[in-house]
Amino acid sequence: MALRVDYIAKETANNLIRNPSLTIATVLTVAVSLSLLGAALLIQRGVDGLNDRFKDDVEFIVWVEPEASTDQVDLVRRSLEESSGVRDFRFVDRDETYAEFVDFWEDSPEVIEAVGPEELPTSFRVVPLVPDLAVVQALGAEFDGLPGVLKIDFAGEYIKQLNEFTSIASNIMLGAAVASAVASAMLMYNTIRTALFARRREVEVMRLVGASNWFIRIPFMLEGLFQGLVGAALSVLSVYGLNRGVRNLLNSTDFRLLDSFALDSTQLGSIAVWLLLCGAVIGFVGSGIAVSRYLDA
Amino acid sequence: MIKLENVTKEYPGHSVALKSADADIVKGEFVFLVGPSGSGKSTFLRLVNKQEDPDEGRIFVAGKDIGKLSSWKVPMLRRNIGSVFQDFKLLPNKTVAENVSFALEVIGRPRHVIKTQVPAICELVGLGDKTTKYPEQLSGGEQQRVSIARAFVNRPLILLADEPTGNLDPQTAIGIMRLLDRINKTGTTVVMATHDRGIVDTMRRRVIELSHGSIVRDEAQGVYE
Ligand SMILES: Nc1ncnc2c1ncn2[C@@H]1O[C@H](COP(=O)(O)OP(=O)(O)O)[C@@H](O)[C@H]1O
Ligand SMILES: [Mg+2]
Repeated sequence: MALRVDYIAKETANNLIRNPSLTIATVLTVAVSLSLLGAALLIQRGVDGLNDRFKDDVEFIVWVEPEASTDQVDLVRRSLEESSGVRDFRFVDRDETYAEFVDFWEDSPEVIEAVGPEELPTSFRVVPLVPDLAVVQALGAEFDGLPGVLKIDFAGEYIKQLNEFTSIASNIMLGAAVASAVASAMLMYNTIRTALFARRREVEVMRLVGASNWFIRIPFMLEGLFQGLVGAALSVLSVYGLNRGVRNLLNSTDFRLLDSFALDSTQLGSIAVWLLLCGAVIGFVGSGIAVSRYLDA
Repeated sequence: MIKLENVTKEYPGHSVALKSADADIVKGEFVFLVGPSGSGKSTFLRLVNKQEDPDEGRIFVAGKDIGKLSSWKVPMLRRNIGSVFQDFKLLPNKTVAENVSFALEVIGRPRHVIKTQVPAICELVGLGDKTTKYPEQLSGGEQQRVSIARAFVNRPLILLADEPTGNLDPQTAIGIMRLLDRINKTGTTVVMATHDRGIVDTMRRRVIELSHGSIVRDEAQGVYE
């Protein structure tokens, strides 16, 4: 049997405009729930990027005063060698520190000009045996009192706290996204049921004269699919907007650490694909259940 | 053409609507199903086009056991069975011609078939000059003619009519019966549920009488009684 494309297109369009307020409500609900999902994905990708960058990084840094003597540096080195909690460490000398410094501040030549290599502290980058925050902090404290030691920096601590905070935030958003996705699928179900009810006479006649099940279903399923996809498209726009906002915010500061939270277009593209897929699924599942329950009854 | 073997149908929470019914209707027959309201006439008809499934027994249509039909083949069964109802079931927002062509459109018949079949069938039922009217602009008898045209336009083997004259005055009813008779003469098997004594007694066709779901009489050229 030839499916009549013109018939199906006409019926789908009729369904969509028959009840515009319900159509709009459904599209907006899908858009809101998928925007939440998109935001959660944005954060998660950001955290992933952050972790990628710091994955192999030192867990803590022992800064040595610029004026420290060679003996003092050797003492710190020996303590590190003898410590049972240290797996590995590396000494970063003055030249390397300066190179990093220049690299970090490359956008601010005035800072680079103001500081000479001799003013910079050298450091030991220490990889502890146990990468647990509490253990690392205790270990780091052992070296805090040594002569010539400027301070101990826990690079990991900052990342970890950020990690914890963002993973809580993104989990909450993910939860809200899932809840509202369920809500939007339920609204979709009701919208399609309303459409079926509005067309119950046609559906009854179609069944009586022997229209195939798919022929009856397709316009309603397409209606759901269309609403799901339009909602998803709106959520893609809002995610792009959100990402642009984050990028502008990050660019307006000199804070480079969080740069991974502004996604590139490939990452955004993959989020967009996910959102459109979810919109299609919401539309298909919601309308599919409505149509099945109505027609198989 | 239609065969019921020991068919029982019970609606949950209700008494039995059809009890161990046996019937054999051959091709080209015209059969009246008679009996008071609630005796199971509509249930009989709904079982034949698989709007309902029996709890017991088997039903054959054109030699096939429709109990064994998978659900995606049910539409094919229904394409061979036209249905007409007391309340016409016309679509109010479609004209006469659109109501009739709807039945062909939704089963995917090609446009050129629709273009020739629809005017022909409208002519046949006597509505050749009213094809652009809407149902509300027609009398009850004319509306029933549209619904018969829709049921017959795909040339089904069987036409089921559930009290098609129930809403019509006797004069109009006679016209509808003439039309059904003509359709029957083309070889279509017609099964009509009715409790219109006058019609049954004038036509003198086979009568199957139902009472509380049981077939209590099956008579060739019978009367209503
Ligand atoms: N959909 C239904 N659900 C429950 N009971 C029904 C249903 N349809 C019919 N019945 C019952 O089955 C019996 C037979 O009904 P029906 O076949 O409609 O009789 P008739 O058409 O002769 O009036 C009646 O008692 C009726 O109440
Ligand atoms: Mg009835």
